Amino acid sequence: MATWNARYKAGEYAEVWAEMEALGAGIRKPARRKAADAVVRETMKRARTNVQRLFAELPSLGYRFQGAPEPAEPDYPLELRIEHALEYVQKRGGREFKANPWSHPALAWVEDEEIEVPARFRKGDVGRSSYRPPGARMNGALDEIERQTGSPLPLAVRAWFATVGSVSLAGTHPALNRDGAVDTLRVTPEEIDRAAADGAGAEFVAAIRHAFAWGGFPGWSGRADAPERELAWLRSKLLPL
Amino acid sequence: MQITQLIDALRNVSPINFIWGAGCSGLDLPVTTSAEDSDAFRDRTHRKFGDSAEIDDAHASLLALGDYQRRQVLKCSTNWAGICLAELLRIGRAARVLTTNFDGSLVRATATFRMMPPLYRRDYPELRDAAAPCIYLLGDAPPEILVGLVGRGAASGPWIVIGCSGKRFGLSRTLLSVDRYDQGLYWVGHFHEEAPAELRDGLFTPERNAHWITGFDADSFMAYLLRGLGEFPPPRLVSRGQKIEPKACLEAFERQRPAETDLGPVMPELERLKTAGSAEVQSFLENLAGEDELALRAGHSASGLGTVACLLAGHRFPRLLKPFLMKAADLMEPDAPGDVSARFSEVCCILAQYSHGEGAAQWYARADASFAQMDFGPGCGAPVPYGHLPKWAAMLAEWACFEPGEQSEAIFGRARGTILDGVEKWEEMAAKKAAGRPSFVEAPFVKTSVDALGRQCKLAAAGFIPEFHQRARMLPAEKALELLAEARAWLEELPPGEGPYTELLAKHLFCEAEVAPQRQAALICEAEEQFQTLLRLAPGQAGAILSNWAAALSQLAMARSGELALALYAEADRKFQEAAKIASDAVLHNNWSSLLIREARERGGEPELLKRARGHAGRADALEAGKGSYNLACIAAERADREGVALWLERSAEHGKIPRLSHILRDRSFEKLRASQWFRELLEGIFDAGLVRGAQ
Repeated sequence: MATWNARYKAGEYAEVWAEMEALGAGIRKPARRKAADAVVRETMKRARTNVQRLFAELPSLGYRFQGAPEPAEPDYPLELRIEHALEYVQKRGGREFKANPWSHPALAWVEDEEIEVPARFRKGDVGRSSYRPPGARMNGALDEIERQTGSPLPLAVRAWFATVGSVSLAGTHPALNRDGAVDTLRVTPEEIDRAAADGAGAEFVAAIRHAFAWGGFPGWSGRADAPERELAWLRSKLLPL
Repeated sequence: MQITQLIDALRNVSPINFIWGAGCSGLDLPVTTSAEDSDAFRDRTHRKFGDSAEIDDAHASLLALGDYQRRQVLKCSTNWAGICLAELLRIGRAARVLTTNFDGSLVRATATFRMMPPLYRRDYPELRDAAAPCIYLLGDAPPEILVGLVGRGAASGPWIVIGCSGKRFGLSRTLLSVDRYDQGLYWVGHFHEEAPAELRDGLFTPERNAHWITGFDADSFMAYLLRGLGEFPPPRLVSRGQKIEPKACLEAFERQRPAETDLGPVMPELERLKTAGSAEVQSFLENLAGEDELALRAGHSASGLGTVACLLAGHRFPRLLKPFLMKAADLMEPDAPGDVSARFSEVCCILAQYSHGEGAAQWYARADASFAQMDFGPGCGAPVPYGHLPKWAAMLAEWACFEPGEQSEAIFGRARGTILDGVEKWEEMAAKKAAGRPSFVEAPFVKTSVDALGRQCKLAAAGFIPEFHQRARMLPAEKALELLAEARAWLEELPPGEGPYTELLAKHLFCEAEVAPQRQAALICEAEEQFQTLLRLAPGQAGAILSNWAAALSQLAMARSGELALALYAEADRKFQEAAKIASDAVLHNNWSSLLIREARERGGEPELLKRARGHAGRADALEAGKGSYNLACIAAERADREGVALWLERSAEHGKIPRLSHILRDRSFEKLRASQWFRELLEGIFDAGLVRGAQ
């Protein structure tokens, strides 16, 4: 009999997740956990790819992510701090950090202090309010939620934040989101459903599947005036999950 | 601990003490001097200043250099860390800074804000006794100094340690020795750097109230700190409400850096200052001293005060100028080895003239030390290489001749050797130049013509001849003759028949006559021939030539006694009369009065001669204020007129015409007064030379 993961990879996305969800908290039992984790990993790998593609493709359509407003006057000490840290990584960080200096320990404070990096340093990358990579601070926030609710978060939810990070596609676009009023894919630690059951998290996966099915703009679901051309183009870039 | 918590904690405590390490420096040195970086720095230092067995890292490399060499090696750029700390010092949020850095970037930053906090260097008060704000320059202090200061002053405020690796100066051990930092200790690591291993668990504990801060370098931490405790960028760099990029701020800061004192607007004032009231001169010089000190702190050389004080020295009271000359010496000394015009040496020489004995020797020694560091070889770019050597020789000769002591012979020997060294170098260059094969390192010298080098040799040699004469007068006859024979040999190398050399030869012959009585007649005859030649060569200067002839005769007369002396005095008197018929000036009348005083003494105090002497000294004084006053004081002394002595000595001092202190103390006119408390107090009032305390 094929494993959940093999079936998942073969396209039985919803079915596999439904079976896993049906086990409730039993999914965490050792006998099931290994097989479940493989599905969760595969799902989140696809989710991360989709998120990365959306962040890459949307700006090419002219989409403007809703970031924290740039301060009227630059935060000079912060800019100095970032500039010097980047210079330091450039000079002494070694080859492995050339492509992504932000992951160097010398810049760990950016995440630790939840710094909104000024646009000029992001080189086109989205800001912190649109995307935060996984990190210790985020894990800490999830631990705290679990402590408060007294039960573990669903596997899918926990895995999302460990693999993908915090994501919000909120923003504006003449067709996709004229006034920023259309619901977008938005998964942040602050908006986790604390009442969610402690099972596999099929409901969460269904929600993100739905969001990706609408190119990251689930708000257009069921609406006749949806910008089909743009949504179809976005959809074509995404992996099924 | 996060930065916001740290700033909150610092808002409500005393001003901060800083330990300011290499990582805060404007130099391109790493916080933790890695082997690679210190090697590169060491190589650079070695290339410039040669090898040293003690050199093992960047700090030691710097330590092995002198102040001037360090200033040459260290080229620091303005950085935010220095600017922000300067601003915190200015607004009173920082109290004391202990730094081992040599580069002066922090001091330069304070100077740019026109601040001059006390700089403690080599003499370090306890923290509780120190001014606030202040900066301890501990660069070349032994490690135990820092240890002691921190250990005993731990409770004097919160501490921020920044830019330090903790590996040097026993810093880690010292900080561990303090049980608790009541107002906090905050050690700022470099970005993700970990705390020194030996401190990790021991120092950074809640009990000690010590904290390790990460995520910053010195620049960014200080910018955050200044924003938290004051205003960033500092308001002096930007107009209120003006938006300005940090880089533009750095440029604005550089533009505000005090410049070297511009003497252009000062020089026209100089004539007036020669006769202005003392209070005005004092205030003028105080301002100049302030500007110079600011310029020095800002990284420039500071010679404005010294230049002006030297120019005023011939016109103003020594006691008025002395503190300014001393200040000027301190300000000029750091850059003295780079000044081919040797103005520092001029200042030292004047201060030596205002002192005597050991006090004078110390000033000459300081000038000597600065000359020893000078490097004005062919690569220096000066029109004539080694242009400092004649000045060095002149300074040494002055030292040997006017402050006689056990070392005088050796010092004079060095003076003579310096000139010979210069002449040898110039001749060698001229030979190379003539042969058309200057080496590449001598490229600038290629511009110097063979003629110019030859002229330099002659000028240097001729300029030193009077030093031979001066020295010969101090020696026993035999040695004096040896010295004069050498001088004669130098003279013979000079082109005969040219005015200045002819006059030198005439004076030399008189000098030889002084120490060789048996050949006096022949020598005088030869000297007179030279003066006659000179009169033919320059008939327009006959007055001055005759005056010099008379002075030479007078000098010779002093070396004789009895009838021989009186005959020479009479001859000199006649020459002065001849000279006065052609042209009379203050110098002539003053020299004439000197002659008459000596003759009067030779004749046992002949009143008529003293009366004539007084007349000529009075005329000299009328022609040039103060010029004849010293002789009038001598005349008063011959007549035991204390009031007259005081009156005229003070007048001569008031106009800057008083001779050097050691000359006065040796002058036969004051022989009877020399030991008296009254006379010493009088001189003390003029020179402030420690005469009354008997310190010298």
